[in-house]
Amino acid sequence: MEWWIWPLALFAVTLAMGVVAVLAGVGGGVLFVPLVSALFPFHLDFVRAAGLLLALTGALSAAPALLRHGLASLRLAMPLAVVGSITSIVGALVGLALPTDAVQIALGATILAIALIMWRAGKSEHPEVPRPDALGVALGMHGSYHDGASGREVAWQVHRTPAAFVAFAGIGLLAGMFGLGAGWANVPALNLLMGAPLKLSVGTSGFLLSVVDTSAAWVYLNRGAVLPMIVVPSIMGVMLGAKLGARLLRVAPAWLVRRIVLAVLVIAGGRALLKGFGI
Amino acid sequence: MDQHIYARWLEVGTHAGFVVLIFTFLIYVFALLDPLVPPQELTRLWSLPVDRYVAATGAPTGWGWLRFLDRGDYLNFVGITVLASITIACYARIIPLLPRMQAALAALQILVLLAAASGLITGA
Repeated sequence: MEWWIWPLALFAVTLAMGVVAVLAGVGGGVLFVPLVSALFPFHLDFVRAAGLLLALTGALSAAPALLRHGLASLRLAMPLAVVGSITSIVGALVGLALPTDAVQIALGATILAIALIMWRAGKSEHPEVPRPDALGVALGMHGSYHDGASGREVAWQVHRTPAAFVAFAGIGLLAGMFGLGAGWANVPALNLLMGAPLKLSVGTSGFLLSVVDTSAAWVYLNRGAVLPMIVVPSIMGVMLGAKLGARLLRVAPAWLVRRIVLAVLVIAGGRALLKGFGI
Repeated sequence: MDQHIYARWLEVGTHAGFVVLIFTFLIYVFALLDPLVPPQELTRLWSLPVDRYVAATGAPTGWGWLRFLDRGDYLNFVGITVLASITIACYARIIPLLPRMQAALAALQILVLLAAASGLITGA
């Protein structure tokens, strides 16, 4: 087969992935690793590196507007990003050190768990935080943003900060080990665990990805696991797909797309598990 | 204020990174510069684990790619490195504007990112 067919095929698949990811309200990174490792002949090391860079570039593109409009908070993100980026480095090192079969099995189990979280996790527009915890206060994790929909200023504060540090340590570890974007875990942790408003949680999750994924990406970059022939078409495909998806958002049945994505994740997770067991 | 400055730096850096990445990728795929690993050979080797791929191709690790900037494939690392470095620059820019606690966190974050980028703790 001619070599140029591969980047073209990758571009086409990631374009579709970008459209679906936006319609389903998930990050492209969470779909990329399970699907590309199942459909293409690339070793998982290269797919994970590309997955991280993909999630990173998406987050970098979105973060300026989110920060500017106050929908991402530096004050909320900074302490969590330090913890997440340290553990994402550890995760990347562990992921590259483990045998491929073990990583496949762990990836499959993680993807299935993500599908379950996405299916079951609730959300709360404005969670009640009766009393902020001392650590959150000391770290300055409070503020306000202007909600364009309601036209009012929304004040926010957080609680359960120590538990959140543990959660973000785990999230960073998984992001680094499997090259997955971690929006699926960041948003519930910020919103349901810490009590940050939903909009702020979604925006801050994007910003957190830009920091946490950078740390892990350096590990893969330094190990030689970044192949531009895989990375660049994937980034271009997902970015373009996300733009198309945003246009389709008004007419597409998002609930149906979301169910399809969940089904795809279950299949891809099951496939990774079987691959890991050599079946 | 600090968020706006961070956002502006991030936006400029991201745009610059993308432009460089797309430009260098076109150089690569249209073979305007010879790659270190020819694409036809790459398709045979990308199913190997990274350590075996590096051993088979002599591909650089760490910052070794800087020695191969005359090669189409490794020229792409300029854009990738810009994208992976922007966060460090953004944090460094806002440190003087932050209260003491946040400034300390930003400095710590820079140290973590620099440690990862340097390859010292990543075994490169």
